[in-house]
Amino acid sequence: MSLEVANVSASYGAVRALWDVSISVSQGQFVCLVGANGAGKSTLLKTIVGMIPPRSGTIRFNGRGISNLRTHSIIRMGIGFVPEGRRLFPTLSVEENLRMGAPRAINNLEDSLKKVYTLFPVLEEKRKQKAIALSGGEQQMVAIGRALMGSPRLLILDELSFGLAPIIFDRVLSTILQIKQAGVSVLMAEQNAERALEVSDYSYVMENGRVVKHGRSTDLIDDPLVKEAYLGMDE
Amino acid sequence: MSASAITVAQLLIGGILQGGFFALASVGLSLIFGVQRILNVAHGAFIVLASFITIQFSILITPVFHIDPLYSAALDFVLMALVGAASYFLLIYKVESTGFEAPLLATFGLSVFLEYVIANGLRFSFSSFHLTLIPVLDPSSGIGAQPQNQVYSSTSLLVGPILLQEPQLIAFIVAIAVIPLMHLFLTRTYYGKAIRATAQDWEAAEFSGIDVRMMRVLSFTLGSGLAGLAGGIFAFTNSVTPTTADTSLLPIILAVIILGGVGSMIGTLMAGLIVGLIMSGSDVVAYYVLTQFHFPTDFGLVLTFIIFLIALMIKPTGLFGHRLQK
Repeated sequence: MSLEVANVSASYGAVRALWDVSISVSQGQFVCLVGANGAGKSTLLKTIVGMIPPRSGTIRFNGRGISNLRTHSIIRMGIGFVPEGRRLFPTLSVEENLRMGAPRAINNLEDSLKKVYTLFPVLEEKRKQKAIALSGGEQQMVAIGRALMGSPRLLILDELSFGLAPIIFDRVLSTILQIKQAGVSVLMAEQNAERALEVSDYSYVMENGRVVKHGRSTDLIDDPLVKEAYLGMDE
Repeated sequence: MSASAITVAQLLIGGILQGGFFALASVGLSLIFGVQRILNVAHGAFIVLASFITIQFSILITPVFHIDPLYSAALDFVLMALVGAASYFLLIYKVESTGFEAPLLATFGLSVFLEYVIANGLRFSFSSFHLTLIPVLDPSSGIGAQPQNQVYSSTSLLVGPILLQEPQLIAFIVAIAVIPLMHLFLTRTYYGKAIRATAQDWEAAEFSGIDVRMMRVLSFTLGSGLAGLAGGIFAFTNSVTPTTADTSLLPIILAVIILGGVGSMIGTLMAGLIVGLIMSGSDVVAYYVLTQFHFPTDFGLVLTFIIFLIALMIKPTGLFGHRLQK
C-alpha cells in the first residue's frame, strides 16, 4: 500500500482551498493531518478520493494515478473512507449500512461482516435497528465498520472526534490502533491535535490550504510553534 | 339499498379501483424523484405514449396474431424503460449536476416533444402500413382512442348490486401486485438498498463504493418502465388523447407522490387509493350536493385539489412522508 499526493491544488466552489500540497502514506503507517477548522484537511481527503477534482498535481495509490477516477472506483481499489459527520444512511438498518460498504459481488461479505462485529460487538446486538436510532459513538462505529467492509488497505478518517465525548473518542481511537495493528494504513484528519499527534506516526500541519510543517508526530508534539498554535500550551 | 345509495357505492368502488391505477402511474415518478430529486415532468407523456403503443398493438398485432392486447403492457414496460434510459443519457445526465431547474426544464421539453410525436409521429409512421385503421385512432382529432378489443370494452362483473368494469379491475390488481414487489425490491435486494442509500446521501454512497451514476440510471430506467406499464393499462380504462398527460394525469400523479411521501412505495399505493376515493367522493358531493347551490357538475376535480391542499397545509411532509430529509 502506498499513497502519494504530489503538488496538488484544488478549489472548493470558487475558493482556492488547496495550494501545492504534498503528503504520503506508506504501508502500515498512521498519518495525521492537523490544523484549524478550514485549514483544508477535509478538502485534501475529499480530493484524494475524487470527490473534489484536483486542479493540478498528481495523486497515486499503489503507484497508479487515480486523480481522474470517480470516487466509488477509488474506494473499490482498497480505500475505506469515513466522512466527517459519519453520513450514515438514516433509514437503513445497522447491518444494511454495513453491507452498503461492500462491493456487491464479493465472496467474503459474511467474513467482513463477522470481522466488523468482532471489532464492535455492540453493532451485532443492534444490527436490526435503524442507524439513526444509535448513539453518536455507535454511529461512528457503523461508519468505521462500513469503511472496513471492502477490506481496505488504507483507512481514511475525517474528523472522527466530531460530536463525540472525549472518552468515547479515545475508545474509538484505540479501535483504530487495533485496525492499524492488523496491517491497515491510516490517514486521519483531526482538529484535536493533541490526541492526533499522540496516536499517529507522522503528521502534517495544515494552515490556509497549505502544509506548513510535517514530521514525526513525537517530534511535532515538542515543537514550540505547534505547541503554541494547536496544543493550547504556551512555553 | 336505494337506487342512489347503489350509485354512490358504485362511484366509491370505482374510485378505489381508479386509485389503484393512480398509484401505479405515480410509483415510478416517486422512485425517480426520491433518488434523483429530478421531477420528471415527462412522466405523464411516457404513460400516454405507452397507451398509444398499446392501442396500436390492439389494432395492428392483435387481429393478426390473436395476442391479447393486455400483454402489450409488458412490452410498454420494456419500451418505456428504454426510452427512459435514452432520455437519461442523452438529456438529463448532461444537466443534472447543474441543480434543480435545468433537469426540470429538460424534462418539460421532453414532454412537449413526446406529445408532438404522439399527435403526429405515431400516426405518420403507422399510416403507411395501415391506412384504413387510422381514422379510428387519429389522436389529433381529440376524440381519444381506446384499444380495439371487444372482450375488454364490454365485459363487466356484477358483485351484488355493484357493477365492476373488468379493465378497471385488472388495472387495480396489477397495481396492487406491482407496488409491493417494488417495495420488496427496494428493501430486500442489494440494488434496491443501494438506490435508497443514494437517495438518502449520494456522497456517502460514493464514499461507500456505490456507483451512484449507475443507481440513477437504474432508478430512472425502472421508473420509466413503470410509467410504461401504467400506460398500457391506462389504455383499457380511459380514452387517451395526446394531451391527456397534461390535462388530467400529471396533476393527479403529483398529488399522489406528494401525499404518499416521495420515494415511499407503500405510501404511494395508499395515497393513490386515497386520491381515487377523494376524487369519486368529490364527484358524488359535487353531483348531489353542490349542484343544489348552482355549482357546475364537474366541480369534483376542483374539490379534490382543495382537499389535497388542505391536507398539505396540515401535514406538509405528506401522509407517509419522512424520507425527504436533507
